[in-house]
Amino acid sequence: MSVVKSLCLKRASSSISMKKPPFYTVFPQKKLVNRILFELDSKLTLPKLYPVYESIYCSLGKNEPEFLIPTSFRASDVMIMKKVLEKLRHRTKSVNRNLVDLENELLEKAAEMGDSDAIAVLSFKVLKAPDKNSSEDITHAKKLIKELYQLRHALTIKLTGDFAFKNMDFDNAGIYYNQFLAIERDTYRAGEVYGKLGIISFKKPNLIEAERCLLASIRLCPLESIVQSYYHLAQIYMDSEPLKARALMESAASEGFKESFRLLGFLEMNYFKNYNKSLEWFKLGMELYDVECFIGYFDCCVKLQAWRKAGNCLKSMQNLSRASMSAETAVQSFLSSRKAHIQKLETYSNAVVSPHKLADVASVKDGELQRENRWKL
Amino acid sequence: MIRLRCLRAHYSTNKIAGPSLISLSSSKSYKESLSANSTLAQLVEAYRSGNLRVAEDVQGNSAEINSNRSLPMTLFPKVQVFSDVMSDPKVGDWRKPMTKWFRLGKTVLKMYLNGIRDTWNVHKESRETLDKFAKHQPLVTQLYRDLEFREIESRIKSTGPVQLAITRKEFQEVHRRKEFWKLPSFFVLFILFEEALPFICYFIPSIVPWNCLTPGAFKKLSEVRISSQKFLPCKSSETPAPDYVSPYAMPLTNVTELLRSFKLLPRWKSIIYNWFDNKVEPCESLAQFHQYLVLDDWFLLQSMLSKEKQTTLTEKELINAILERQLYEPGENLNSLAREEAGRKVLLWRLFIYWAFRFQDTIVAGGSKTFSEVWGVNNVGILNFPGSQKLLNKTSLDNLEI
Repeated sequence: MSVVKSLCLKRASSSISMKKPPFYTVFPQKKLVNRILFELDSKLTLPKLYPVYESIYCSLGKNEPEFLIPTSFRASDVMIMKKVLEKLRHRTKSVNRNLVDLENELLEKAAEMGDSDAIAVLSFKVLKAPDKNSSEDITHAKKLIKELYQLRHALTIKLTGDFAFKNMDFDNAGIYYNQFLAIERDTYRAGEVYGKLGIISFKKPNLIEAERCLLASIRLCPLESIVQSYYHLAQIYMDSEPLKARALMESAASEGFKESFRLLGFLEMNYFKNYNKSLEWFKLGMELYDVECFIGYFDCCVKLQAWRKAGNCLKSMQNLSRASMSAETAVQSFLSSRKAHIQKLETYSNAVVSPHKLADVASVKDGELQRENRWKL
Repeated sequence: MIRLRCLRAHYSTNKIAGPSLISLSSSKSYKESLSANSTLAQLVEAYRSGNLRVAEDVQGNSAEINSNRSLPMTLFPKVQVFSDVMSDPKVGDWRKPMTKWFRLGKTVLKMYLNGIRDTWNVHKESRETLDKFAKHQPLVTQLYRDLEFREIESRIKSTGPVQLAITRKEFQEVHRRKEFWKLPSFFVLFILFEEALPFICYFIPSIVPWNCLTPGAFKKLSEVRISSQKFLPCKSSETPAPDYVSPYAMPLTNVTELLRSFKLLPRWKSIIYNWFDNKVEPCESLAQFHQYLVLDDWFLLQSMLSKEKQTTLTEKELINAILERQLYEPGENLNSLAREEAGRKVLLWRLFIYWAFRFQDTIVAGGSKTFSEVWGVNNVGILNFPGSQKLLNKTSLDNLEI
């Protein structure tokens, strides 16, 4: 009987989880959305947009869409609605499945209304996933991209560059990005393009050009869209100006860029000699299971003579090496290079009183304790 | 490049596997060092083949390297002036004692006037050099980064020798242009004390613009500078070879004392930094001085190791290079050493050994690494390290059959 009951409960809970949560619980705070609308220079305000968002959200998943976009709305307005959600996704660094569905719906609607940006984005979406789309769709997407490219549509040129960049075709990517910059030079998108050009120059390497592009990218774009520019610029300044490199790397770390934690940790430990700060950076990296952060944390603990922390770190590292093959090699080389420290750690660990021994001593009578050396535990 | 930097950060513990020290204990060990260190062998070869020499003054290609006008005299003209007067038949014997002092005074006055004019010119012309570069950053940092970029690019693309957009003369004159700011106080003192000013300059030589210094005043300042040698990290190192030491790893008092002796930090600022325990400003200045020395070394080495042209270093530049790198013992008179053949050779070989140790395996000496890749980021552990356990002197020079 109880089994049947539990099964029923399970079914009920799964049906609840399948149900969409109400829109007001998913949609972010008014203040945040208003700020994004201001940044996007939207002519429409949230009170006008909210009902449209809600109606589209409620009609998602239904066979016959019930939503109505007001006739006063243009394609660009729908695209701004989509961009608001996209920016929210980047800013909060979280993905809500329902909001992503809403974003896709808005994109499709904008494309249907004839927005070139939306058409370009949708066409490239098709090209990026050829397995999931039919050959007719791919041919149609290519045709649309070709037409938009001939019209010198800026976003199409940028997306073509991104496509080449993703496929490691850096020469062509550079050509497309430069074509884009000839059309748009001082927008957020230009900032992103400068960032990509900087990375291409960094890889070539043409470091003077890379520095110029990355600086332009940082000047034009907010941090959350171009974390990689900050990271690469920090790499460029690492040898000549570590102070500047630290500031840039900290900016990248503030956006949760994984690779920056270990570099910041090592920079603080080896150059600035700020061991407590480096411990904090390594801790953040350790939460992401970065094996180099474990190594840095151990070294830092040894320098601070925090033997207990070092011992715990060593244990975690051994557990990590058992779980991951890639970490195993790094841990093995670490163990062989830090033999002296590990031996010292063992010496200190042995000197520590075990709880059993403490309990034994506590049970000894006072008189006996006095006869013995008080500290000879 | 990213991968390389990650690895360096990972393994950059205090121990660095740099080149081994140049041994001067015996002729045999020196020869072993010579065969192990290709940079030293190249420098010795350049010196022996006559591609590299030291002279009083230069013209032609080497004029791009030396800036004599911004450096002090090496010989006080007293003996020369006196002998000229004594051998002058136009001057009667009865007035010779008076005339020789009068002419000496005139020569010294002329020297001061020339020095002041040169300080003015250096300041004016170096402004044109500075205008070529970005204003918001020190020139040293910009050039150091530029050098690093170009070396990495030339290593990957094999584009041949690296060139910077500035000559050593211009670089040095930018570095020495701050002497200009001594002129106002110098003039005020001149108006106040008139003919008594030389006596004040004798007792406080630091008020005089650098290129107006007499050899005696220079000696006093060189003694002040060498007294700070004990604050160098390589002096407190337990191992014979220097370890990696970042500027931030040094005690603040050592940093400020070093900067004060290098004339990079006034006394009042050093007191404030120590008072408020402000490490950032002094440590950054020390790192910048380290970068300045690396760049200066690079300019000189690049010219000396080039087989296409002959390089001539002036006596004044040689003395200045030795002074800045603290490659002398307390009590040594660098001017008199540079004016005699054996002494000049000692000074030059001290520089060779210093460079050979620092630049072995680097790109400028035919290696494959940048300076930071060999020694680590701003490693002041090797700041003014002579490259050998003991500084070379005349006796060891003879013993080693150099």
